[in-house]
Amino acid sequence: MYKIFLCFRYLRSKAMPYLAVLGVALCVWLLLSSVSVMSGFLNKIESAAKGLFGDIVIESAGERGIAFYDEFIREITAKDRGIAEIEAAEPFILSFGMLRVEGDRNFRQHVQIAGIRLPGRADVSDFEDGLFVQANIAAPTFDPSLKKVIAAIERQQQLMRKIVQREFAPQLEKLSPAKRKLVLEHWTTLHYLSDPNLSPEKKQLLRQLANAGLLQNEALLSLHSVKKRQAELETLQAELAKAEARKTTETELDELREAIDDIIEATGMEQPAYRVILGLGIPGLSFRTEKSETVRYLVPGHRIILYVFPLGKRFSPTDISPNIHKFSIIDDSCSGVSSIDNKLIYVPFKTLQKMNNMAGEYDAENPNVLVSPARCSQIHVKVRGKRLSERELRKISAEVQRAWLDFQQRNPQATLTPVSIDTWRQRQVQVIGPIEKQRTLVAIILGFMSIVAVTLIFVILYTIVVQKTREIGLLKAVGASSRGVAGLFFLYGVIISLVGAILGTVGGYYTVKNINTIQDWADELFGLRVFTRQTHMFAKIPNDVDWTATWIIMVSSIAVGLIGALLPAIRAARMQPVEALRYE
Amino acid sequence: MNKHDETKMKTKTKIKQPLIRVKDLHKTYSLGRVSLEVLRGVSFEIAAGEFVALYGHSGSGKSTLLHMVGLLDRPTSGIVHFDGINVAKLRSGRRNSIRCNDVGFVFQFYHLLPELTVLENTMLPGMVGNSILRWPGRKKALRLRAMELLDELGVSDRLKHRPRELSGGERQRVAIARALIHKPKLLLADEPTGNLDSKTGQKIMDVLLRYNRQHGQTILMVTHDEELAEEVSRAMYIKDGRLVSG
Ligand SMILES: Nc1ncnc2c1ncn2[C@@H]1O[C@H](COP(=O)(O)OP(=O)(O)O)[C@@H](O)[C@H]1O
Ligand SMILES: [Mg+2]
Repeated sequence: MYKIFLCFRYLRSKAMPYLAVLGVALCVWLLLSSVSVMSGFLNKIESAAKGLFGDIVIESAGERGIAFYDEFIREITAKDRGIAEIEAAEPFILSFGMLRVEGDRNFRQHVQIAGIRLPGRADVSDFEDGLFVQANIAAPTFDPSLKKVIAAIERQQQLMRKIVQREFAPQLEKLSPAKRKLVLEHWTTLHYLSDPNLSPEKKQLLRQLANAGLLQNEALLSLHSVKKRQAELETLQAELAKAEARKTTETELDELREAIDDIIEATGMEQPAYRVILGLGIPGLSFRTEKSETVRYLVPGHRIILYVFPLGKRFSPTDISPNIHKFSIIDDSCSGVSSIDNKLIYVPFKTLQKMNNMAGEYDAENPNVLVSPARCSQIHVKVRGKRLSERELRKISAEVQRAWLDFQQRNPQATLTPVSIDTWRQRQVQVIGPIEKQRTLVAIILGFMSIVAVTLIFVILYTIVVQKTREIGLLKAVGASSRGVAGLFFLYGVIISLVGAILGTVGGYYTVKNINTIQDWADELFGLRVFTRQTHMFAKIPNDVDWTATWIIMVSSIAVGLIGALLPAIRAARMQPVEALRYE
Repeated sequence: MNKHDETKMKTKTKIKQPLIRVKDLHKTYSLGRVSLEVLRGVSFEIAAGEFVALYGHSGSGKSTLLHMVGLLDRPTSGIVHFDGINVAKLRSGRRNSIRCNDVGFVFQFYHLLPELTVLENTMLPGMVGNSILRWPGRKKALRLRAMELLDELGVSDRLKHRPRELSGGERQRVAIARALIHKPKLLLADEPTGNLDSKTGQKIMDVLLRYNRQHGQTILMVTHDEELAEEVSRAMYIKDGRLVSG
């Protein structure tokens, strides 16, 4: 009983234990927040990498690509003969091109163009998670319902109104109620808020918002006209299909096709084959507010023109003439990794295959003879189960390798260049490697700091034990056992480290959770910006607390307290009461 | 062995045996190569209810002897019987429990814990002797006993004070209260007045005498003051590690 009682009395009566608690708390706090943030980065890279490309990527060297991909996919995903661990696999084409915006002469932006199949893509990656119109829809397509598209744009406009209300509250205040209403309803009247006292940043924001609003309205207009003529388009398409089946005259078919083209021209909405999902972050197509909200200039309903430089086949450097086509924006995708979001756009697989000259070619005279098979540039493989270790993934990857070699022996035409099969981690090694090293380094540095904590607890306890020599003697004189006295000081050390660990963990938790706000404060107060979007690839500092690390840190800091308390406790236990009590 | 001792004790208590029996006690300290024989064959008995003074010059081995009797130290050779039990052979757990429940110590320098109040200091042996599970059940009775003792000793108005706020005489009273909290069979006092002026010292002495007379408290008191030794029922004189009759 006296152990606990005295322990708390000792804790209360001295400043030193508070110091020790603080020391431990500091160590835990620093360790936890830095390890969490770094693990956060790693996790983000992992989910982003896997989110886009799946767990294992099969890629051919060069641009010639992989043929018979569907056959191979069928083989490895087959129920009984395939590789059991594989859940799904999808072909993928990556090409390069230039993007222009319809109606804007000056805008041009080079992009990477990904050819994907929907909804198959959702089976191998988390692509669907970051979509704007089809957010978290299990089976996204290039042809979502118009209702959803319009709803998404309206959501966006809602957000913009919120921004206006937040950023221009004083200006809104000054307007008459009627005008205020107008401003919040019509983007054309946003200039009412303009006021000579506005800072240049606010002026720019106002211009950007007005611009975005107007552009979005154009898209909405186009979408509404699509809606109006949707039924008409659908009947024409049905007729065309029937006519094609009937093998009627070319003129009749052409007439139907022209009628369809007319509708497309009038509404401005391309057919599903020519629709694009933009990466959210392509420069000039959206902007970001200070509070990290994204406002889009281009939304679904707008059209872009894509120049694809066909690298797939018969490539001669002196003569790259791009394949050009108009595409309607139908959605956008945000993976959270800015280096991906600022240059990738997604178009239907077949369309890109054609535009990249990777489509199958048949003999002109005998259309049943395959001259050159259709190709893709990569195959993305999704493995069953979550968070497989690298070792497990490599094992599966080796199996895929074996399957591929076997497949290629039977189909020599499958690739003309070597094929590499890598896990997502192998592909991201340049990014992940340094961060993992940094994390280890930080853990080591801070681990050394915990030695400081041990020393602190040790010194404090030792001083107390020496100071309390006579009291320890007295305790033994009134019947306390050696073990009991040791327990008292042990408990003391444990409480110091436990309280320190808890404080540090709570502190670390809140630091990590609010790391972005803290960063903003530091930026505002001292102009200190450690984290920039460009260098770190992400929009935000990851703020997930690494719970495994938390447990390890907590347990080890308590262990540290025990170690620090060990020697003083032993000394206290060994103390002979007679000697302790003898002299004043 | 323990059981054997206990049965022996039971049979022997019938023939009214002494509370303390010390036989041919030796204690040697070895300081490097030199060994210092502090006690050289001490034998004596103390019956229950006696107030025995042990006096001798400083350095004559009085405290050493007291510590042997009070189970704070183990002799080099010789036997100490405490209430019929040969304590030299006991496990340390049993020795701790005897120290806690059957022996009370009063020291020259009080040895109160500065972090604890007067009341808490008095109750300390109770806290040491009871596990955390038993403590809540015992706390109330102990508190009452402590208050009663402090009242008898005239320090009941200082219950919440810290030792450093008390005078030397008051501190020693608290120390006596602490020693008596478990109604020990034996009270050991090592120069209890050694650090006090003679008037205060006499008052402490009176307290001890009163407890001896009123409650039949067995006391062994160490002193180097011959005068104090005369006030008690029996005095033993120690010289050069041996008891000298007289
Ligand atoms: N732990 C020890 N080691 C060595 N010598 C000791 C030790 N304890 C006591 N002594 C010596 O034993 C002698 C007796 O000490 P003590 O019993 O305290 O005397 P008294 O209480 O009569 O003054 C002294 O000379 C003292 O120096
Ligand atoms: Mg002495």
